[in-house]
Amino acid sequence: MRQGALPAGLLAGGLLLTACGGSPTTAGTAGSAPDKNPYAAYESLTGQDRTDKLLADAKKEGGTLDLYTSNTDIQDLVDGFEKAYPGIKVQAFRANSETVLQRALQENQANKPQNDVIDTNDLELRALDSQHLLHAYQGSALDGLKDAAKGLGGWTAERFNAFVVGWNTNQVKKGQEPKDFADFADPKWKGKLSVEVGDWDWYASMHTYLTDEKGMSAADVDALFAKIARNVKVTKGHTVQGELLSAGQFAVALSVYSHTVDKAAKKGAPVAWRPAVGPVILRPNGIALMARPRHPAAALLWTDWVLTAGQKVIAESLRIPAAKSVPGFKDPIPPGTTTYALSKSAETDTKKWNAAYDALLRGVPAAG
Amino acid sequence: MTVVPAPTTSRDDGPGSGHGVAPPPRGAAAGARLLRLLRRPLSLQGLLVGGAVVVVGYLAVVPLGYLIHDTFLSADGRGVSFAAFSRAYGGNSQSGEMLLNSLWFALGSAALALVLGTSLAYIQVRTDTPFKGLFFAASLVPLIVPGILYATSWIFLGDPSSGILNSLVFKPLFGSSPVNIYSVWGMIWVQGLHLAPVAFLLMVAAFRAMDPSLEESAAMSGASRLTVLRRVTVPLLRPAMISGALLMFVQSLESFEVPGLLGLQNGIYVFTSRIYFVLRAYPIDYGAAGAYAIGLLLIAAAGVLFSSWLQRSSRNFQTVTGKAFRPRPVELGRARPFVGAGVILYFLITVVLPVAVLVYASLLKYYAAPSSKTLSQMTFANYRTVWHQPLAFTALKNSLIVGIGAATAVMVLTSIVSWVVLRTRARGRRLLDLLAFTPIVIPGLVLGLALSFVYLRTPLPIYGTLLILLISYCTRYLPYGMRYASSAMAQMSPELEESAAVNGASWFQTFRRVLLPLMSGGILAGWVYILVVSFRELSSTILLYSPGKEVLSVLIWEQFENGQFTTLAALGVCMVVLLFLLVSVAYRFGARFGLQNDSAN
Repeated sequence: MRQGALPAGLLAGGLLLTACGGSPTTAGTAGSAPDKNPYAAYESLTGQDRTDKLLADAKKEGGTLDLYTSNTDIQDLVDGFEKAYPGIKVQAFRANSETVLQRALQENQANKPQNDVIDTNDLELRALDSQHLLHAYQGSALDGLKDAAKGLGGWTAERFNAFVVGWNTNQVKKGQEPKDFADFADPKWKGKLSVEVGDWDWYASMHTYLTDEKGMSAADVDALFAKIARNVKVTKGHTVQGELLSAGQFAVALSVYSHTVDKAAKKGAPVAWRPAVGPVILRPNGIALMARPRHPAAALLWTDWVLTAGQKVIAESLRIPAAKSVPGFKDPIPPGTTTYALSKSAETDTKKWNAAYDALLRGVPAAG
Repeated sequence: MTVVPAPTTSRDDGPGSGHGVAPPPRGAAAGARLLRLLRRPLSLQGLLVGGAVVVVGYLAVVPLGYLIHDTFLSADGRGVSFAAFSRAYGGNSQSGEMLLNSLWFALGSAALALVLGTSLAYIQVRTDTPFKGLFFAASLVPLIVPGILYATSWIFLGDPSSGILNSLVFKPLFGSSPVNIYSVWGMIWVQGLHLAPVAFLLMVAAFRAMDPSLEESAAMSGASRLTVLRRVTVPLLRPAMISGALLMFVQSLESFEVPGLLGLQNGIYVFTSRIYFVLRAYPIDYGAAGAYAIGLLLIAAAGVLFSSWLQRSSRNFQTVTGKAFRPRPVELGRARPFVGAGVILYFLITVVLPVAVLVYASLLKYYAAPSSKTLSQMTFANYRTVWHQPLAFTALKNSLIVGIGAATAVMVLTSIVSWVVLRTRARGRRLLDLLAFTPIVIPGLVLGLALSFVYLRTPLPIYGTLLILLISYCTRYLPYGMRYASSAMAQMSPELEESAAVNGASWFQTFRRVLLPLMSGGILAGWVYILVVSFRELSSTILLYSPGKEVLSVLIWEQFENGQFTTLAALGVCMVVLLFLLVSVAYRFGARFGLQNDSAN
């Protein structure tokens, strides 16, 4: 073999390899629902019987739970669970929601599922559910949850993230707080507002809220957003956005998480989001059992716990739990505040909203 | 070129000489040697050379094949299609405008970094400047600090309204706030400072391997100091400078940290912001992402070909010959205090300012501009949090294993492959060079997907272990290793290898006892670079690591996602201290094995 042909041969070989391996990313379905329900033995049980059997079987399975998560406060839950059930070790893969989704999809496509439970954002859970990779949770814990947390398909909401308008209290004095979202179109806010570059789901929700709930025409809403867009600075990442808000780099962040502001305020930073500018956008974050778990008993034990006792841990990390009532928890959203759940159109047409938000920030007409 | 090379041989086997008219008689010697080597496939040499070429080719081809497959696959999954390109570049994408922004940003950053890195390397290696110890810190610290922290530090320093530089320095002294970090110039400044170490490491190695007798002859013949610099020194360093410029240019084109944090605030969009948007959607349009990456690949390929064209007459750069030399420092004389002051200034700007902001932030509960109130509330709480992280020590251990492993593997592989590219006339060697450069444009997520695709379908226990991270880092840093190794090799005259061969040394003995020691400066520089940057690699790591196999960058990401900026700053400070110590040890170790150490002068 001539050495000259080496690289060319390698290239050709590599291409062949990838081509023969089937379509790596465009496969229609990542997997199909298994014939047997791995959770069947436990679903009819309730109360202490169920917990005892799950715990005993979880230990027989090897005493580990493989969890994939994009929940950045997961360590609190892991600690609480391991304290409640010593002998079960939780191995958590933590990554951003896009990565968690890609990892689960890839492993299932290759027929090598590696995780038992997944804990991430609603959009990613819906994507996994549409590939039949999840198994709907059944248990008495459902009775204690808010209605918005149930009936979502193969997954169950365990907590809600709230998108709120936050401000720096040194720059926005008491009594001068913004009241209405439409006020931000005023040129007096020029250079004082901030949005995050990836928050197209927030944009989709606000847009739909203004058309569907407030009765504005789509053209009016577009015009309003175009005016607001002229006043904004775009940041990348909610952490940088929150930190720059605390530091006073801008006066108002239009789409921050309530818990980001609350955590900063707890440390003494000059930030606030109450009285809330309506609507507060609620986004469910959920938990799901995998359809093909390696440790089904541990998976169910974890889910039972997160949806009951774990709700207190979630509340302590200043998030909004999915349970109707958690002892000692005070809802951070003041009574009477308008809330809005992520719109149905955002669920279905992610591409359109992503492109529209991108176009809005760049100040170009939206495609198509 | 007015450089008169040391009159040694007339041999010309540089990368550009493949189409030469009649190959000089001895020119084919190395090629023939390679042929002989490969004909004896079971010999140690044959295995080494062949193995290195195959491994490098394999590492580069896997992600590239995956990318090409996804980009050109038509919607029905059967034929070839170019639809991804119209989705990526057409419509309202403004790709042309963004590409121009990107090119401006990348050219500016690469130029600034090259000028800074080269001047510093010159002062460090070739003059009797004071404060040489500071160079070491100045050359490494910006490299160690993760990009996101470095850029954020500069936001706190250079924000037009509340930045420390404006509010504490310029406003009180001059009554104006001239610094605006959210401009293209601000982006170039931050990126250029962050990249300057790449150029510095390359150029220090190049200056050390340069025979100063050429400069001395020029000076004896009456050339002024400036003329010597312009017409002898700089031209001699062309291979290293071109390598450095190319690396930094493509890296700036491909990066999104600085443009994302600084540019977006003023509506300055770059090419990679398109890739960022595409990769965040679901389902991900891999075709469009691939089309962008292929756009970058074309630019990078043009750069590689241009650089090998510039280096076509390679003997002009071969400054390491059979003659012994000892670089003598240029005496700065009256300029010495000024150069010393410049060194201190540079050190202040690139190291002290941003690191001080980090240290300051790490002592606070939340970031606020310095005031008597914030100073009185400082606490070590963030360091305690870092210390008590359950995974901190696992992550540190894994980062060390993978970082040292990848740095060593890449430098060994690329030393051999750069020998094939530069010293032989093997056909396809330029393609090999190009192939080894392609990983630089593959988005990290795509690399991660390609690797998990392959290793989920391989029976070998690679997926879910540290090995897959090692493979990922080796792929990602292959281009850097290649540039560091080949610019070191380009400086060496083949007469040394020939003498060894004449004296009966085998190829392996020559490689190990002549080439490697002479290249050691460049190889160590590349090793240090890869070790340091592998500590912060996240984009492919985050998909490929497994629970229990965490590395430090995953911890950094977690703190970042969680909104704990000040804890993140504390972690960043710890990383700077740790890597700084580690690299100092590496250089001490290198000095023991004959590396010149000129910080002692």
